[in-house]
Amino acid sequence: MDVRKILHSRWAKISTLLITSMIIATASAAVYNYMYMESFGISAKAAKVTFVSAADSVAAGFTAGTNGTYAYFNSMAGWPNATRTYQAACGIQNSHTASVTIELKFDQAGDWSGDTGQVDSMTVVLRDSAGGTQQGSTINVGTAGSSTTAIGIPGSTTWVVEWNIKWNANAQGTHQVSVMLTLIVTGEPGE
Amino acid sequence: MPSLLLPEMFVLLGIDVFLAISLLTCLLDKHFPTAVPYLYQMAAIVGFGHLLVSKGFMSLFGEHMRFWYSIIYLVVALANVIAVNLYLGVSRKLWSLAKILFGGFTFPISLMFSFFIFGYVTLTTPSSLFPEVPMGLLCAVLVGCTFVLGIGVFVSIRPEMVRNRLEKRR
Repeated sequence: MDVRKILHSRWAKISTLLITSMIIATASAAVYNYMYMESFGISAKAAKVTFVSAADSVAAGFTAGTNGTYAYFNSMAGWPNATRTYQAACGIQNSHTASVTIELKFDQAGDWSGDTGQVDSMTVVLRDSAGGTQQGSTINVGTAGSSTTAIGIPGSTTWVVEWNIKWNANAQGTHQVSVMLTLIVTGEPGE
Repeated sequence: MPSLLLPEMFVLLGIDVFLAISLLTCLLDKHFPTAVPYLYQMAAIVGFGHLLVSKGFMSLFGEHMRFWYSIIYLVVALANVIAVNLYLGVSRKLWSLAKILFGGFTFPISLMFSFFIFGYVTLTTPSSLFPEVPMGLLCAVLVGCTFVLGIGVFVSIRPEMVRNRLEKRR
């Protein structure tokens, strides 16, 4: 009976210690985990690929957004029945020393609006310099998913964006369209 | 570059060690005063409080300071493990039990601690007191120790087989 009592009390002691140990260990691990998550916040850093002005930027009414992360044109115009070209409406600059993969894209049909029926053709081409070698494919504005395809812009390089606009013969001066293109930058290297 | 490990990891290790000694001294309660397991549980709770304080003042305390007070807690935990060993061996004259405890607990724990400390120092270099050791070397040492441990376990389970082999060679 005594042995049973001793065993009983011993096991009770061990069980109690085991349970409290598990609670302490779990709570400590949870606090550590919380601290770990807290210590790795999401920080902000300067974009390596930015929009910059180029030779025809003034004519196209180019404005670079905050930190060069978007581009806005407010005085582009095209001719009826003839193609007007802005050879270097703006530049896309990779300020990193390594190559970065980019893709300029007309993402979806809703990305252009206005008198789209009056536009004969509108294309955007990425070139290594004004009138230079084409990089990737031609973007057909109005064709959802049309893009330059993913291409690597070498380190410390600026490419130019060429716009070709042709209105149809009946287009009037009051006709206008708004277009939005998306620049996708993937695999930007670390510091 | 921020470290993948926080210095509080040493506190976490220290807490686990205190909890382990608490359970160990409870299992060997014939050789220890009744209060000892509970004291170690208290020490683990102190460590938990330590973590909470660290969490509350993380931005206030620098990484250097957090590293040092975490290391101190870990060293105290390790000192207690060694003290338990010495108590069993010197005070209670239980040399065989002390040896088992040393081989099965104190030595692996010390090895593990050095692995984490040197690993952390290699990743962050918060102190010039600890030399930087390549992570590859640390991993190789850990694998080597596991291999030696495996041989040790095998020899312990089948001592006659090893003895016969050695006699045959002679």
